[in-house]
Formats: sequence, structure tokens, C-alpha cells
Amino acid sequence: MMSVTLLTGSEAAAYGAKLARIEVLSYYPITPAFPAMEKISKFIEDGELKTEFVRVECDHSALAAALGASLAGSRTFTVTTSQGLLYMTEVVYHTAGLRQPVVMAVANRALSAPHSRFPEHGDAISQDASGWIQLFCENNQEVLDTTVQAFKIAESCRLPVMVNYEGYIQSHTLEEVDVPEQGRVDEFLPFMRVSALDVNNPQGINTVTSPDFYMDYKYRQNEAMQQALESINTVAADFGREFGRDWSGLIEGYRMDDAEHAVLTMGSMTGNARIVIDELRENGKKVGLIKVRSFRPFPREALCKLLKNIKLVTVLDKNIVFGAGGALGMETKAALFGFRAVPVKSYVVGLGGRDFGPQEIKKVIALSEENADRETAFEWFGL
Amino acid sequence: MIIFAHCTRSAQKGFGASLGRWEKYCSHELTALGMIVAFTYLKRGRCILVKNLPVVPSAKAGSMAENPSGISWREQHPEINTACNNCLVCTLFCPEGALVEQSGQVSAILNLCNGCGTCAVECPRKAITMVAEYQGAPGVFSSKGCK
Repeated sequence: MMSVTLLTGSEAAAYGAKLARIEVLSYYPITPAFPAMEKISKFIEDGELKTEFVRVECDHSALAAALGASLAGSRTFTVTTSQGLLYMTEVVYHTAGLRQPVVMAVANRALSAPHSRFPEHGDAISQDASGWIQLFCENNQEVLDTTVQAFKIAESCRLPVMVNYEGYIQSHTLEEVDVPEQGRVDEFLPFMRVSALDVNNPQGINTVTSPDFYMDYKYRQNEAMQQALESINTVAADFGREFGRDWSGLIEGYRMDDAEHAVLTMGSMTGNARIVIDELRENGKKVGLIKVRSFRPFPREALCKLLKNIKLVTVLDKNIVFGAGGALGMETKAALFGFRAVPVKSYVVGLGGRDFGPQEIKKVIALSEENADRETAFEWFGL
Repeated sequence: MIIFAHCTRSAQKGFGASLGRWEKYCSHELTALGMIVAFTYLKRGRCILVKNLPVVPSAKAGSMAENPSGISWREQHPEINTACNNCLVCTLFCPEGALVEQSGQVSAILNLCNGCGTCAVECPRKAITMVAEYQGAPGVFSSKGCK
């Protein structure tokens, strides 16, 4: 039975966490992520969810508390954005290195300075080397579904997962969301509890590691990330079978059959891009869309497969790595290098909440086709 | 538990033999957290890297107290051979006081040794050799060879 309700992205993340029966929530309020905390504390207050809510003094402590709770074996969740994520950075790396399956919703917001509260992907991209699995959601239904999936991926690979959705565009916008029944989620997501802390066998966690072993730990962390490439696909497929919504795992090709021009997007841009691609297809243009759902691990092989016969690639990035370009653009070029030579036009768009809707997407696609032969590392659109 | 084992019997045997010394000094004890056993096997038929480590980087409580000089840091330790004439120069240079004369013969207290190797450099008779703690295969990785 469907139970469709109107939810914001943050509420969808909260429902996802509730359905996953999280045991510990540690959180420090930050805009635009706080509605997720409000919703979960309401669940706790109403007796719908049995969760230990740890109120902390800052974001660094929020993730530190989550990490400790996870080491003790509980299913742990936290939410943050932008400056909060940067403040957490030290513990972000601890969590990944200690292989704890913490799930964190990130309502993507621009980074200071200058101070901004508006959406873009800069905060998540700043953590791309941290060892967290990073999934980007297209709409609020996907936020809920991905949060549920994230726990399964995290617990099977022993790696933390970030569920990314954009501030305001998703976090504060109501959409129709189907909330699955608790019983079905319980069946899909049984507890896989591995406690690192044991009172009968005391351990020093995160001890000083000599050059003899550090690299070996890192090697294994990376192996786990490689394993996640399979796990993300498997969990998405299982979820699709169980709940009827297939978010196609790592990457999705939309109208890519016989396409000559591929447009790559992440996050909320994807929904708009679908509308534009449909319109262009109606006018006979051979344009397809590729939605990158998993930025880390990066699905190199799956992307190359989709780009096998493409003549032009346009990559849209809501982030800027200064002096280098858009992160997805760089990854796409790196993936294609040694595979096949095809022009890749990389555009930095919509930073700090600048409008980037269907009209802009249409413009940037036309611009990319006009300048297909002009070689540039990346270009700015919408200045 | 994640196990990717890909190794010949003989390579495993060799691994077991070389692990003896390493296990003795390693503070990263195998734990109940779930253990990864990684045997990597490259094309030229040599077992390259085999180390047993817990999934969660951790050590048995009390490891540091047991090993005051921090054996988990040490990568090598001294071995004194018959060329030694007990001149005691090494005992003057050792920063940890790990080299002492006991009943007419200089020996190393390994619980104190930090593995710096100063003794081996200063010994006028070249009677001290530094021996690596980890006697396994060198750490060469190939992610392709590990499936």
C-alpha cells in the first residue's frame, strides 16, 4: 500500500533515518539541515522512535559522538551542511579510517567566504578524499530511499556514507514522497551490528601506527571503497525489487540510446535536465543525460560504458575546485583518458544558489555544442 | 569478515614462517572485530603483501605500558655479534639506556629500544647489526592483482 505524503528533503532524510530505526542521533543545529533534526526529535517526543538524541556543543562533537556511538555498535545518524561539515572534517576522516558505518545527511550549501547560505555542492566536494561514500540525490523521494539504502551499504562495506541533497532546493521544498511501511524496511535492513568496543576485551582504538602498518590500513580502506562499487549497485537493485523504485545504483543513463551528446549532472539539477532532454529529444536532437549518483566511489567503468559512442560530453558542476575546475568534469576527463578521445566541455554553474533551471540548462547545452571544438579546461556559465 | 585469499600453499607457508617475529612485537593484535586476511598474488608468482590487521585500527589495551619505548613505533632492533669486545661505547650513545652490560657482556633490553640505530653507527668494531621488525614481504601493492 502506498502512503504518499508531502515532505521536504530534510523531512525525507528524517523519515529515512526513522525507518532505519536509528539508535543514536547526535546533532548540532545548522541551516538548512536543522529541519531533519526537528523532525527526528518530534518522532522521539511522540514515542514513535526509540533513539538517544545527543545534544552537543558543535559539529565536530556531533560527529565525534556519532563515531563513539557507532564504535559501541549502535546504528548512528547525523545531519549537517557547509561550515558544519568543514568543522567536522577531522572526525570525518577518523570515521572513515576507523571503518564505522555512520550515515550522515548533508544539505549541501556554499562555503564561506563570503558567507552564503545558498545551495551548491562545494561542501561535499571538499570531503572527496575523506573515504566516505558520497551519494547525491535528485529529489526528496530519493533522499528517503537513499538514506535507507545508505545504512545497508555502510554496514556491508564498513564505510560511512554521506547522503547529499541541496539546501533549500531540496531541504525546504515539499514534494510527494512515498513513505514505505516500517515492516518492509525492517525486512530489507536487518541490523548488522559489529561492536568495536567490548568491556571484556579492552582495546585502544586509533592507536599510533608505525610506517610498517599505516599504508596497509589505507590499502584496505581503498579496497573497501572498491567493494562499495558493487555494493551500491546491489543494494539499489534489491531496493528496487522490494519497493518498486530503482535508483540505478552508481550511475543512470537517461535517453542515452543512440545519443551523440551526453550531459552529466549530480543532485537536484538532474530533475530539470530530464525536462530539457525530453524537449530536445522531441525536436530530434540526439542528447542524453547521465546522472552520477555516486561521486565516491567514482564509477569510472560504468561511465566509460555509457560514453562509448558519445561524440560530445557536457559536464555541469555546482562546485569549483580553485585552479583546477569542476570536480565532476575532472573525474570525467580522468575516466575517459586512455579509454577514448572525445571533447569534454566542463561548466561551473549555479554556485551559491545562482539560478540554474531548465532555461539555463538549455542554454549551456547549446553553448557547449557551439564551442565543442574549443579546448578549455573548464568554463563558467551564468556570470 | 572480508577475506580475499588468493595464494598458493607454499606462499602461505612462507608467510607463516616470516610472521613469527612480527607477531611477537606487533601491538596491533588480531582482534575479534573481524579480521581481514589479504593475500596478494602477483603475476610473477611471488606473494607480495601479507599482513593481518584488524578492520578497525586498534591495539590491545596496555600495549604501550608493556612497551615503554613504544615498540609499535620501532621498525628495527640491534643484534650484537661476536666481534663485540664490551668496550661500552654503545651504552654511552644509546638515547634510551637500552644497551647495558650484564655479567660481562653487553646486551640490548628490547623493551626500551626505540630502534634508532645509533649504536650500530657508533660501534667501533661494527659488532651491531640492525634487524628489521617486520620480516614479511616488502609492501608492494597492486590493486589489480588482489581480486
